[in-house]
Amino acid sequence: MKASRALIYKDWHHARWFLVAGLFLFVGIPLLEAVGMQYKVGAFRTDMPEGFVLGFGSLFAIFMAAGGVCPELGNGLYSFWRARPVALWRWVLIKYFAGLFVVLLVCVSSMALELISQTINPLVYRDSEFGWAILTYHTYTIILMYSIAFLVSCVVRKTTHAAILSAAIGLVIYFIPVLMSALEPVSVLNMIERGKAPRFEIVSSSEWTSQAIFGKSHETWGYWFGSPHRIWMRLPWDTALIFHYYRGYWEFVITMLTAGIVVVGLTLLCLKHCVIVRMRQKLLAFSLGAIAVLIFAVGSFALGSNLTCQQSIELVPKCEKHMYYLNGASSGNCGLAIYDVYDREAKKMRPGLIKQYEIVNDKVIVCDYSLEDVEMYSMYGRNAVEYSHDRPGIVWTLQSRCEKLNDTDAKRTLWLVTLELQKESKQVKVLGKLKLGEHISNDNSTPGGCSIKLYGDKIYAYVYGKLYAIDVSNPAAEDATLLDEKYGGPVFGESGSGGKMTRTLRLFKDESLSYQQRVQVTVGLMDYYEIMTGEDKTFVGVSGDSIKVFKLVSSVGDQAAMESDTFRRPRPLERVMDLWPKDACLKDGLLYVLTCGGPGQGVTVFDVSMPGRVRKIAHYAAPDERFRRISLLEDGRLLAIGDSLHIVLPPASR
Amino acid sequence: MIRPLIWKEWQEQRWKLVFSCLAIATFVSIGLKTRVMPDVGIFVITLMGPVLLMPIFVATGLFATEREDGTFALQQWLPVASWKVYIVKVMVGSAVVMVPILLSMALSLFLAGGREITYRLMFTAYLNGIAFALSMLVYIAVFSLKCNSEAKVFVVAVIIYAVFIVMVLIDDMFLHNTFLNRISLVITPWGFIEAGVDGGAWKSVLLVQSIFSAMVLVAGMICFRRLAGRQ
Repeated sequence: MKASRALIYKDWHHARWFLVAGLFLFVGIPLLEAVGMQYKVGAFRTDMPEGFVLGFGSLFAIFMAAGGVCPELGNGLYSFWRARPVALWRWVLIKYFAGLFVVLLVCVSSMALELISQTINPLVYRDSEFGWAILTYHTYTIILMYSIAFLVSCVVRKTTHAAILSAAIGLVIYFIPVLMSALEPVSVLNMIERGKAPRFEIVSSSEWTSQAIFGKSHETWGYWFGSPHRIWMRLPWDTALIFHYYRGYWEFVITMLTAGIVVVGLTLLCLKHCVIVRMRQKLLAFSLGAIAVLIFAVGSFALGSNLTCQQSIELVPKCEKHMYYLNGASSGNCGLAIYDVYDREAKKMRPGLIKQYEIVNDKVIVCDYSLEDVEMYSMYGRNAVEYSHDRPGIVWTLQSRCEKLNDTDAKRTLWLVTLELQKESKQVKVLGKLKLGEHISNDNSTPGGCSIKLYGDKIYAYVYGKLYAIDVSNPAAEDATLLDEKYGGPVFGESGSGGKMTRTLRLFKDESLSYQQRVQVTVGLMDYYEIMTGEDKTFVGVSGDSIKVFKLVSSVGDQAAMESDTFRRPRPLERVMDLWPKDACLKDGLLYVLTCGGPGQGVTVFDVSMPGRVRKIAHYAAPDERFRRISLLEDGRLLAIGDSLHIVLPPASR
Repeated sequence: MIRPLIWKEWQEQRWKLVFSCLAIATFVSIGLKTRVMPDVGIFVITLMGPVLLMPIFVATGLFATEREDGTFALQQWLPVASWKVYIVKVMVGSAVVMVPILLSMALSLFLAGGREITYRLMFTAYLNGIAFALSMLVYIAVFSLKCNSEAKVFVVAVIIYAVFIVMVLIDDMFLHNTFLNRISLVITPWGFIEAGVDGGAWKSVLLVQSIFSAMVLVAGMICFRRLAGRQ
């Protein structure tokens, strides 16, 4: 006992300077910020610790381990320690726990400062969820990192080399699980997401029984009450208090702690058998190079392209700065793209060119049609153009024209305009123009939610809350039948309970269509990318930032209910790469999602055949292209359309 | 007698060549094949990475390791002029710097030439990069002649880079469109990166930097002879 006390004294004597430095950096500076905020805005508040602990917590642990161990094992001191009448495990563990105590004290007090300051002065736009997540997840990663650095220091015994090598291993621990989907449960960066921290919450009894709580983090973040991702426990000593945690929380904690214990065991073994790695420049360079290549390779294969582009054709020359993809439609092996072109007379962009394409025997035929002499208005939304390969010369467009009435009000008129593509003259002729409705609003905002859907010989148009059916057997639409004056939109309502999310569709009345067909048309009228498969009645919603898989569960009268118990949000790395969905199509259980905007843009393929498990299986990266639409050709190949047209081979197997 | 010298240098430096070639080939081929970012991004990383790091990586092993291992003075005893030892070291070092960059160029041209960046632009950028890297190697190797550890060479290299960066920053901020701007462009190796190949500036940079490098090299040779004699 005396020896232990002496060892504790010695290690404390050594570690206290790290404690002082750590407290100054991790607590002192944030405290200074909080005091400054108190002085400036009257609120004692700091957000600095979360960045400090997440960014430098592990680094501090590495410095603590390398700085504490290497000087005591180098220069023949190891033999000295082995000659002392103290068991090896005793002085090693005392050193380990002394350092760990300092690291945890610094990091936990830093986070505690932030959480306390946020409790005293909560902000409306930001809760303390992120701080809680760092405290409840990252602490265990810091313990693991400290253990690894301790092992490396015991084996390498050179402070600088041990610190560099430990930092490189840290990169693997932090980033490889982010990149490899199989390791996601142990990815601390994936876990530190909003909504994953374990929490205590006060919930009334009625709310609990009805399971109808739509809380602070409802749908926006993909979590709703009783989400399948969380486990809710009622605490026996207080019925109003509920403890809920992310399903993978304990797995993560146990994995980190077990790994830490294994590493400590390895350290003891290495010290017992006097294992030393002579780290010279060559070994250090190869180790660091291998780690860098590993991270880069895994990242590239996770985000990079593994699909082959069979053919690509430039539709808009790269040097053309005044021509942008506006809208388009496709059907089978053909389709068209409408481009905005700069009008020199009007000095503004307007729809000026249609490029019609057809793929025949691997040959792409592109025809240009000028819209210069045609009066065209704006075409907003994904469902504003319809086209059928049965009638390749006809295009139906939903166009809107905005007239300013006075300083505040504007009148927006919507038209169904039928265009004919004349092959000989390469011109476009207006076959018909049918006024569908007008809307006066106090601004000139875009007509959100208005859409058209071609089905058979009819076009269904949802315009400002009303639903029309237009017979287009004679292409020039002349008359519109009002199907439902108070239709209101294809989605009737959304709710969530018991770990499931329900979305109800409002079906319209049309006796010429079957129930299944009405569902299909209704889904087609949705403004966001909602797709339905054929027989198993599966819907895939690609909207906002997530992919949700729904099943059609019930139909009562004119309502059809879809239920979802799974969704997939973009992973942190995908969010960094700006891989946000823009368009989608579905075939044979494979969902093809067009992602635009960031450096990783392209087409991502997900396997949605098992609704409970959405898996990313392939990606086609085209960072230099501006794609706006995707469609599937009749033979299953993928067509990406935008400023150029790429034909991509589908994934070979799942 | 030159061949044994080259053989000795080759024995000491070859692992760096193998390591650099492996690392660069992996980065270039994976990056350009998977297209994880636009070609220009991969191109900048795979060009600037080796161009900036290779001179430091190679220079740390040229003279400092000899001094660290105590074999620096032994070279005076060899039946060969000391300037030949010095030149062989610099030449082998230059080859070790150049080969990985040339490999990176060949792979980039093969995998992505003309895809997003034209062949000509890639080719000229790599040539500029090689010229920059060789100039930097000469500067670092000569200014670190007295260093007796790899860490000190690294510090010297960082200082040289910092000085050049400061000069470029001053040039960018204060000397824009002035006569001094043209002078400052050519007096640092950074001019290779900044000046295009089409204008006359590139030729001026090449001329001035060749003269500077030759002068530094000669100064290094004299210094090397004195240091070797003193040991």
